[in-house]
Amino acid sequence: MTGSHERWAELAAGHALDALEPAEEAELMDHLEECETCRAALRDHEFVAAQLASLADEEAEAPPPWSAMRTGIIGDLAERRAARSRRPVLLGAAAAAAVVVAATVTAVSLGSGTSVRDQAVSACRAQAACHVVQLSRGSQERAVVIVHDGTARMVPTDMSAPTAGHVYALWQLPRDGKPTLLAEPLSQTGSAATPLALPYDNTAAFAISVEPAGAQATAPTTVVAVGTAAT
Amino acid sequence: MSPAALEDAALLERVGKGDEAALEVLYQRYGGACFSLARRIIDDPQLAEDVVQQVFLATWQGTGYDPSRGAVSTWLLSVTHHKAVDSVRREGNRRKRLASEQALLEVAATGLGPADETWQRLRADRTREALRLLPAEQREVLLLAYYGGYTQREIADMTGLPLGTVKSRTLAAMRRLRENLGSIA
Repeated sequence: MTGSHERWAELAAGHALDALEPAEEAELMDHLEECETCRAALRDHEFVAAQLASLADEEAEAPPPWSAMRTGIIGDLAERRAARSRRPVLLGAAAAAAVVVAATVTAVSLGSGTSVRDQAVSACRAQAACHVVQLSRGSQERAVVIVHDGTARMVPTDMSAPTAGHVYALWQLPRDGKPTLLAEPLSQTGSAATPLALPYDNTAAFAISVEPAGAQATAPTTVVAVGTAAT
Repeated sequence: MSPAALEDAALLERVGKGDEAALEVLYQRYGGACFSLARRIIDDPQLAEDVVQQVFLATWQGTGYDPSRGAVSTWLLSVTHHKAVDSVRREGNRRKRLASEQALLEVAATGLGPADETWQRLRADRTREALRLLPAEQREVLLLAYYGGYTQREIADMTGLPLGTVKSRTLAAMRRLRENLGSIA
């Protein structure tokens, strides 16, 4: 192996351990596209990393039962598939549904948003290039983020009012780099449609955090719900 | 490849066709291992649960698995590790205090389904033995990265070692582990 390949080998080992800086990751990804030697080395490193996982002990805690995980994994997609099969019908109702959402979204409390949430989700799924991201805490959905036309709107599902002196904030988490604040504070009804900080395709997740009131947050303090952006 | 690994590949194919029961079998088989790994890194059971949910959501959505990169179990644990490390880096105060090397070398193997226990125990025993054979300085950087969730730059800052030394020790450790693990694949 050449000296320069030794450097790529070091990066591949670091990548398998998730221990590289973002710039190194990007550099390695570019190189891997054209280097089978390094791809093979990476496969070996990833195998070793997976063996290390076998030493994680049981911590005396059972994993969450499937029944608790299922909704967060299957539920959303099952709904999406059903919506897709209903799409020809919903297309006609989409505009009306959107109007209903817009009219009622201002009238619900933070803790009773399920029907508004359902309407917002249905309206989104009837539109092209509209994404629903479920934000959950554990297996419990807390809110959804509706992403459409370069904007994101948070609609609460089950969120209590923040404690005194605190507010909720909505964050966009890029695939690489630091979270960006999209909206703060979030009102009792969620947020208005806010321009995304970067394209949806480059988004890893959205998150809601609790922040001290009165000062604009620069990084999430306490994340209370997070949802992965599916592409 | 173990019999379980072959079964896993078939299960994942069924998941790709929307078979929820197949996903549940994969979860019953590997959910515990994924959760244990996430909990080893994250000091918050809720966040660890979030990580595992994201892993199986990715599995359900059919994103990311490349059969040429190894077994399904390897991929699931790799995704779990990646998401767990992401999580602790976002929420730095949730990082688990790193277990001592001795504790890691002595812990019991993570439990899988009964049919896989023997294979899993063998893997864990071999891995533990391979780790023991590493020079202490190589083992240190490896465990700080994998179980501590630290970047190599952070490890250099913590240990006072030059970054280049951290990188070369990590690579040497990974290569030696691979040799020591031998035919376990």
